[in-house]
Amino acid sequence: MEEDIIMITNERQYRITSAQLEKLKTAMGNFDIKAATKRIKSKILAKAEIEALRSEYENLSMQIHEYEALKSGTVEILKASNLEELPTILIRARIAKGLSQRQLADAIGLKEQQIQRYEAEEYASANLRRLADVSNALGLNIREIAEFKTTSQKPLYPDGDDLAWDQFPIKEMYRRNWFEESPGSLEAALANAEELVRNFVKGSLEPVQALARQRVRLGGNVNRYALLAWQCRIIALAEKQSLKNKYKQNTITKGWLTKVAQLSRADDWKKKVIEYLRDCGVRLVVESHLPNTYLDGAAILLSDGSPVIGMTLRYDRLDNFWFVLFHELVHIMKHLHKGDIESIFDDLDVEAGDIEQDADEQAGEILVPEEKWHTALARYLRSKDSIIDLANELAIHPAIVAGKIRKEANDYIILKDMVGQGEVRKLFPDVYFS
Amino acid sequence: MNFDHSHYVPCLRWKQGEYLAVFQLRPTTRRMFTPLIEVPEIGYDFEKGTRSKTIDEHLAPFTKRVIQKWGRQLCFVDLRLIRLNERMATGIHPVFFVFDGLRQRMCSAIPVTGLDRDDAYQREIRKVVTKSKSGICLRIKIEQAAKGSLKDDLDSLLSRLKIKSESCDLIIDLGSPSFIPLEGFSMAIQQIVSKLPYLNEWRTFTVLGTSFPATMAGIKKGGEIVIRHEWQLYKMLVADLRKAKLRLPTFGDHTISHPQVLDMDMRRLKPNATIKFTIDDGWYIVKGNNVKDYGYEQFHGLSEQVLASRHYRDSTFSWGKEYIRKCANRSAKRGNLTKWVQVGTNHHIEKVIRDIASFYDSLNTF
Repeated sequence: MEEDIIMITNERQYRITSAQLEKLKTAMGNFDIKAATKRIKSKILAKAEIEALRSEYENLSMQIHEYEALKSGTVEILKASNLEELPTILIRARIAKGLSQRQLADAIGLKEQQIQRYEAEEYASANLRRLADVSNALGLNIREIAEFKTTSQKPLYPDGDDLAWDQFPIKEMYRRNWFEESPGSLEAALANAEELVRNFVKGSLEPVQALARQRVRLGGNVNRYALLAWQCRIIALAEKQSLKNKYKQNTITKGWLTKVAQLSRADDWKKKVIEYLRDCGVRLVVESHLPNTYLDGAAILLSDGSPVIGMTLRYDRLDNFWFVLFHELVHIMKHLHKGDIESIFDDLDVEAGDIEQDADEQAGEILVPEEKWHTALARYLRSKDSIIDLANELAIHPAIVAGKIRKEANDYIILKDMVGQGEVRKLFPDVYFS
Repeated sequence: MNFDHSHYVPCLRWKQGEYLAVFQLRPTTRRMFTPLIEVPEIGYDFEKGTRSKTIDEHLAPFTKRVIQKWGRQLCFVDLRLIRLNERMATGIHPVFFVFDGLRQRMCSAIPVTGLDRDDAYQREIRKVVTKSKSGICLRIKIEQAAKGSLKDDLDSLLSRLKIKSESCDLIIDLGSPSFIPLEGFSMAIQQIVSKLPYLNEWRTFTVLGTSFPATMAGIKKGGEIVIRHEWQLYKMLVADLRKAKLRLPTFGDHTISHPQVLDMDMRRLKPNATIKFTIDDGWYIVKGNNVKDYGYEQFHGLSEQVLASRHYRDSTFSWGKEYIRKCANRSAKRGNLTKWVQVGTNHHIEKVIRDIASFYDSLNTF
């Protein structure tokens, strides 16, 4: 290991940790228990070795998960119940606010290295005055507890008028071959950015309505231009898909959704679900997220009113696929209606939380109804058998049940072999995943 | 050979701390509970890279220790922690070795079996019960109890063992679940209990579970209260079952330990000094520094902390509680980790027996 990180505090550590995670994954995949047993001359010790790899893997995944959650703004309130927790709150609040260590240092007149040091030692050597400066700079509210809340930010409209063309992630878009006409070299593309991006966005310039699962936060690190570029890409791909049947309002009902959920048990579920949606006029497009968007998916209405679901497969897990899909389907069912485009966009600023929560709850309710969940043994025992029993009863894939347990427990280490890790992206070989 | 719902069934891994805790209990207390004694696992010697003992060495002192520390009274004995393929040097099955030894010493130990033990295990159980006529104790996991096939599974096992439900003690084992929300879990268990075959016929009927943490790693230094969810659940379940006019279960728990055995390399571990003090609806866990670097003297200070807390003013009397007072006053030794298992377990049993008595007292006054 290059450095011993307890908590990821900056992009560099994030990159290092992500790379380590990949290495560990490979190491775990290549681990040959028989060969190791031979080498160490003990099965128990060989097992301990793979266990050690696994626990390191979990540890790193947790750190990455936390960092991403903080950066994406899904963590809304950080509370410290006692002063000992304040240092980690300071670090987490900075990340959640989208401030780099340098930006925080600038704000309180220190050197970047000083903040790095403070954070590495969890502010052990900082005096009260310094802690107060940092808290103030982060807008923390310290009474009996420290509280930190993020606020929402409006997404960009693709109407092109006040867009800053150079803000688009041109390099990444170039790498992914998104531009219709060949721009030549990367240098040429960068020089020609405005025209390229204008043409790219043009196809999607008509008013479209989109609800991004990821709320965009003010002052956060989320790149709104990247968000917009992704959305345009989804629309462009969607428009290439022809539809036999036009989408009819009120097609999506609870009963319809329950049928979709049952497809999760099929061996060729991917094919089945895409066809089922398409036959009902709903297009499903997969395109991985752009850097600094932390996006899971979006529900979009095209100008002709036909709905599109865009998904990033940011987490390569079955439970996540189904949960995001249902979240977006609920948006289409309940929140996206042609005609009051503007009002929903306006409301997003204030009501985004409610709409998102509503979609989360409804998606959860359809996949695993609360009434069943309340007395489901799986919820309490968290054992493989009980999860499979409940999944059979609900006629859904066990990964969905396991995912729900992990979410409720807010523990992403448990049941890791039951959530279909690595079983989604591989079914989309044409999609580029970084 | 019978007890009702106001009894108590603590599950005890029969190691030194546990059996000395039981040994220190008052005679009246001993009549109010029936231990579910688990033959401990054979440890692993990380230094030598082999198991610390042979099965013969491991089991040789066991029967004597049951009789010396518990006596000849009713108890359940479970060999679930002994590997199924284990055999004594003479080729005898450990199940037979243990129960035949206990029978010869006139101990009323009831053998525990379940739906997940192998053929050889069940054969030995059958041999033992044919001789002793003591009946058996069936320890059934809640998942197994929830299955639609439960009646068939039970019938087939009972007929194999040639035994009737009236000669069986039934333990529904919840393991160490997450209990929250309690209402939902209680309802789920009630639904399962209402469908249990022969519910009114089993000789005794116990629900066993624990929320005791698997390790002390998550406990804050200083002190922390961990909720005894199993006790809260039990009270709720009894209320639900009374309403439904169903048979009430006896309360069972794992005292101050976790059912899962962690075979850890003690050379690498630095266990902290902790006192686990059972209180109303919880454990007051007082945690100090690791004993390897900071030694055992800290137990005096930790005892002071327990003694000074409002939790100590509970009316329960126990040898363990008294030991804490003496240790705080430096009139008892600081002890070692085993000693503090003994202290905590001893107090826990006294406390729970009192809890159960007050709970049913309060129900009967209405």
